Amino acid sequence: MPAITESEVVRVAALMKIGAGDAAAHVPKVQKMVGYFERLDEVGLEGGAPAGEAVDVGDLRADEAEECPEGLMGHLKGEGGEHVRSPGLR
Amino acid sequence: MTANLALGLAEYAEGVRSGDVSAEEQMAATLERIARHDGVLHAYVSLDPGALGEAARVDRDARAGRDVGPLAGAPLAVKDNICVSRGPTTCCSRMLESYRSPYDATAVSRLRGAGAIVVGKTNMDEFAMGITTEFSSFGPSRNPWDTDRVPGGSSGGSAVAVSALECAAALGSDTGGSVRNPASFCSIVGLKPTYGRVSRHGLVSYANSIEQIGPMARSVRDAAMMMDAMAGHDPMDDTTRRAGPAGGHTAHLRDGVEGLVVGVDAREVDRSTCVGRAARRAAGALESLGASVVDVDLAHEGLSVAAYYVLTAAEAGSNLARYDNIRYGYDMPPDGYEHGAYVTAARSRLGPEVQRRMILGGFVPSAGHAGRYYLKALRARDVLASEADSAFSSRGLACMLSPTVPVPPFRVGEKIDDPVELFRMDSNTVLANLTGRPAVSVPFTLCDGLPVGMQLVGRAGEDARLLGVAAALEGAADDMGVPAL
Repeated sequence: MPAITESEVVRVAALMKIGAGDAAAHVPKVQKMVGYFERLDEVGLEGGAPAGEAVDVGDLRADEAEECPEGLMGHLKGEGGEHVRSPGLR
Repeated sequence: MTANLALGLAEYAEGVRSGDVSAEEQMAATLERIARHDGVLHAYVSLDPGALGEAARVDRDARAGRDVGPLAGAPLAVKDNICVSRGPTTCCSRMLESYRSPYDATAVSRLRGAGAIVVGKTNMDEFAMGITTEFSSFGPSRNPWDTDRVPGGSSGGSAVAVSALECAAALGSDTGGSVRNPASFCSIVGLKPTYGRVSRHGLVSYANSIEQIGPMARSVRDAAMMMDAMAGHDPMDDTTRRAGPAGGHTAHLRDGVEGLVVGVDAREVDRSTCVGRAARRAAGALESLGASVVDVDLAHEGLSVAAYYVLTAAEAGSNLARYDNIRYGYDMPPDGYEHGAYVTAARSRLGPEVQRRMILGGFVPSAGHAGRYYLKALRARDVLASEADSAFSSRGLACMLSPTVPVPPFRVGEKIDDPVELFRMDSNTVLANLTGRPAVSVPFTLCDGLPVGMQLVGRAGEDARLLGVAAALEGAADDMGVPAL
């Protein structure tokens, strides 16, 4: 039995905003890829949380707003560099 | 003056300064070569129309006695996921086809500051997801050693451009081998620096906890010179380190390997393939130069590729969420769409590999599956880092040697339908990314006329010493010349 079912692929694809038609085409390869990941079962989860890297907050740049470069809006698609259009949220 | 496109960066700059080399003639010859060969090779996806004018300015500055920098006039190719302020930055995705960055990436601005001239942007797998360039939305690049074969990836266009003398040097980005794999396939040098050595500011994020921008060049010295120009702390990337190598990245290029200990994985050098025999010969060459070669076995190395793909999928799922087609993207009016339906419609135009990685990126960290995949991948990364640390300290290793890729360049289309077979191509490269260590691919020999590179993985922060070992290996390598086009 594959590690991820076809319906799960379609469900996750919908969450990632990838259409059902596209998702269905990916099922065999996604199943093969997830099947390959099964070997990670060899590793246990004991030993606490995974290690992270501590960063001294003194090394971080100041949290200050900076002026945007002149003409930045012109780099976005939109209406004459004034605003961008978005579809409605329901 | 006759242009010589095979010049190293140091000779190039010295020639420009002395007047023996004309940056303008070199750039004109570079553009001519691109025009002649890139229809087949497809290294570039865009060219900077201002490059020739900039080269003329460098010549004028040199004649006037002004400082033209250590990389004066050198034509530089830049992978298309690294931002430049002139021209497009598309990540070879139709989604970003019309995107223009308002700024240069820090690595680019520093190389420009050292005198290099951006000649153009290079082909890559869409959003750097792939190892062949076959997943570029603009079509694959071709290996200059055999145009029926892939050049590697995802920085394949950069490797092709350097190998085919279509630039003097290039920038790539390396998430799991994307600088080193194409460097090996195209017979050039490619370095994945220690994580935090080169600023990622202006690199379009794929898996930002492990990726680095790296130099791709025709010699170890050229790669070291690029590192001197672009490495170092950047306030725009808080993961960059303040400490750099004393004397710079070229400081150890003549040190040799006398007295150093080099680890090899017996499974790699015992293979009865041409690549396995080449690795055995490379280990022997380092030994004959005075290094001790010892066998090293990381117990969980077999998990590295799975851990890598799980972690990068999770990060990619998050990073790609910004591509909603609203601020940049396709010309697709939002009228009549609800927000979610609009984003879904836009993402249907992403390439198949990107869609797959997004699906994986939604799946592996999701409720009910995170413990089985994502958390175990994080744990595997910790275990591998610990095993590598232990091997380096207990054996006193300077570096570990392996073939960069287990096979020579394969045919276009040969592996594209088998994702797990493509995973296996990363088996020697992902460890350096998962553990933050520097790693370099050095051209070593040809197998049936196809390039084979050797990889050296070093100690974190010791990029300059690693380049010293790489220079020694480079000196012991076969003379492959340049591909006949």
